[in-house]
Amino acid sequence: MPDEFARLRKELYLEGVHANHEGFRCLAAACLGARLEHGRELPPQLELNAALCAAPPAKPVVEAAFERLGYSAYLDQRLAEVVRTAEPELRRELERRIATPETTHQRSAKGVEVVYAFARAAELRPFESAEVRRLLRAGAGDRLEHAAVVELVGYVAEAALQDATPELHEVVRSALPWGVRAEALLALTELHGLGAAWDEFAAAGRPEDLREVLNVIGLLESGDLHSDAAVVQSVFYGDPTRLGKGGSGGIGSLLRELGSGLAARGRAVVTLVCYDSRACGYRFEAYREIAPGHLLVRIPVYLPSQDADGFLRAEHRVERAVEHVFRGSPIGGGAIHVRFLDNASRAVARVAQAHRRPIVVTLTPDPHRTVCGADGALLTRSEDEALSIFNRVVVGDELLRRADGVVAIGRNAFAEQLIAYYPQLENIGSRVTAAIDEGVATGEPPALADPTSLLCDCGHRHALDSERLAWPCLVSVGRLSEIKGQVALVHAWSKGGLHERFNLVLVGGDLESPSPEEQRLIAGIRGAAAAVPAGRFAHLPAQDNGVVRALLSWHARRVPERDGLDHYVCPSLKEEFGLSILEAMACEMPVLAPLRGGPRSYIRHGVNGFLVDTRDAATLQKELRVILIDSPRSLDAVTSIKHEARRTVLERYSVEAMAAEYDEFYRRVAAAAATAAGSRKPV
Amino acid sequence: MSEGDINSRVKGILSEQLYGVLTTVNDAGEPHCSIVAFVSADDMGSLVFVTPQNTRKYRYALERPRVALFIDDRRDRTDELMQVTGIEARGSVELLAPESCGLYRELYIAKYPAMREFVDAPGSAIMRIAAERYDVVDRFQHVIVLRPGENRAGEADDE
Repeated sequence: MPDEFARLRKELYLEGVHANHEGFRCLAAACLGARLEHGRELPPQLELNAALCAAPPAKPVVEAAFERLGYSAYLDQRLAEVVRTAEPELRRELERRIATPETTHQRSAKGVEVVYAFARAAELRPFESAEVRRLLRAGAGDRLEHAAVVELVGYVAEAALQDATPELHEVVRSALPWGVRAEALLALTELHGLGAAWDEFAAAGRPEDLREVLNVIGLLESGDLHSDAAVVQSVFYGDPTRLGKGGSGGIGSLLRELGSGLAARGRAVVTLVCYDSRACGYRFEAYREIAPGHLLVRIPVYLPSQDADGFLRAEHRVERAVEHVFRGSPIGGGAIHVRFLDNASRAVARVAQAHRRPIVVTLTPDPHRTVCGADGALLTRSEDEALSIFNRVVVGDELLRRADGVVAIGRNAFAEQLIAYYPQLENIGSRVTAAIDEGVATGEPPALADPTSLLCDCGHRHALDSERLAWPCLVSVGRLSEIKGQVALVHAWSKGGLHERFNLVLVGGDLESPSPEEQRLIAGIRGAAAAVPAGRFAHLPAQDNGVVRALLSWHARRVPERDGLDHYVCPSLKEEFGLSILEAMACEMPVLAPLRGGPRSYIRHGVNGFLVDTRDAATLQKELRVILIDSPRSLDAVTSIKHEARRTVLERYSVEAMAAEYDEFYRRVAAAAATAAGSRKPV
Repeated sequence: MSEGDINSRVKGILSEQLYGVLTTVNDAGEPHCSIVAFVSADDMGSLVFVTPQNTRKYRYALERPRVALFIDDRRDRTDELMQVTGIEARGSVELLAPESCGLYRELYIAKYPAMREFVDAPGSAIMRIAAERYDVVDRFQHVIVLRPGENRAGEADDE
């Protein structure tokens, strides 16, 4: 039964108003939690956003949005998108207005950043060189916000202000943070070429921390990068070489395994990774060959935060960074694959389109399926929340419109999830589609050399008491994130008597230099675990995938001395697909997985695993108790579940099977793009 | 009613109605009617249905692919006769090979989730009517002709 949001999407589509002003207003109202009533006005930001989405928006709408410049990143990005393709007369007028000192200074400390960011995003060139140079000098002297310096530097490169070269040198040689100086060095390569940038590198005293920045550009320009790369896949959340840390979770593991699997089939892959040059969470390394034919390239981007909100605010910076990749050397001729409905993906898609590369989009029903509650009715939200959802829904539609190929995660995803929220799929035109199950490694995992040292003597704040190692254990692996539900799991385990029967082992997160979100969650986990005597709970930082598989396999094979068996628990509020669950199943662990999302498509409750309601700690506690304590399965029954779990993965969810399907899909995309370029009907 | 309104109305009926009457031509050249569950696709350019292969409509459709599909929104109430809209879609039907089903199979299952096993059964065939024109009849005898892809509607006499 489709929910209210799905019904609305379908109605708007059938009425042919999904792409006009009224349609966007209805969409925006739904994001707030209500059907649009006749004559009712939306909150101002949403009203303007909806008006700007309609093409072309009326001039008063553009002017009203311009007046609010700097007050909402959603509005600024949407306005920039409109201005890019606006009539020359309107663009000239906005250039004139944005360059007036009042416009810049009205916005106080953030003013410079705001107006330069907007000018860049809208491709306006209103600022005099002298003014830019003056501001850059102030920036180099650390008298401006760092983000503002980044915008100024980017503006210099994009507007080709060659006479600002001395000021760029000043920034490179300054004591500003690495990310800012790196941006200045990149700007120099754009203005004067790589040789001049190396000269400046030498003149600046060869600052070692900047060498890798030029190495990236050198790699891109050298042609050493796979010129035959058939696929470029981008990942902006985390880093596939740092699984379980920061934002790197299942998607990082997937891209790593898939890229290498495709390369093994002869299809060279480049994985583009966004390196947050503001946070500098780990040492910047320009590139790494993950496997023969699979190269990972990191591109530095100065981000407010490495999440959807950060990508929204820095969409133009992402675009410029990706543009570096494609301008330097035409890496391969194959598809560019984006996987998230966010502004970073939109930036990548825009560059891909400019370079006439086929675009592949992984379509998901998020955030669509969060618009309504469990009862199918629209949920009431704040204007900020509504703006976020509205933006992602609109970006999703834009990506679908630009796409040459569309991938759904899971074989039944189109029919069961996507068509309801994307009614325009009924008119897909010549786009190539595929519904592909994700896969995990199924080979024999390495043996766990010393479980005691890993779980008990690991030197971390929370470790198991070695005398408790023989007790049955609940294991959970994944990056630390609100949506992954680790805090709820620790609460459920600590309060429901479960800790008297089971140990708990969490694996994931960067415990040494945690991100802000990780810090919050670690505090929550520690608070929840404090109620339980020490030695029953272990929290290991993110581990190499081989170690994780070895650990899971060890748990799966052992028979604890106490009553009860080891189980894998995924407490996520929802899982798109659940790669960590499949990995546990591949290792023959009995799994408890969330009801919401992908696991329902491969877990049959009581046959090859268990489905549990993970909506909150109290519910999770009840669910775990019922399965693990109140109605425990016999050893034979659990053994059967373990075998069935592995059989499920082997038959349907191996990396090899997944890579074969993607290989065939990319082949079809390339063939279709070659024969039908530009002939698609709009979606 | 504007052209856009007519299109929306027809698309809405095609989307909401579960069944239509398929007319094929039998060996004697006479019409043969049968009920099919269908889904509309390609912005009204395609009508997709699934049929067992051991049926007359399947054989007739393959041998004589010119077909019509009639869909209406009647509720079997005499007082609503003037409000019923009937749509006759005409075109050529083809058997879709599994590898060329694209999203048609998914669209069909999305509309009829309970028919997944039937769709995937070895003896079932996914058929696509390439719709060339829609004759839309409302107010009992008022006829409008729509041609998918051309974005053009025209009035016609009742036929």
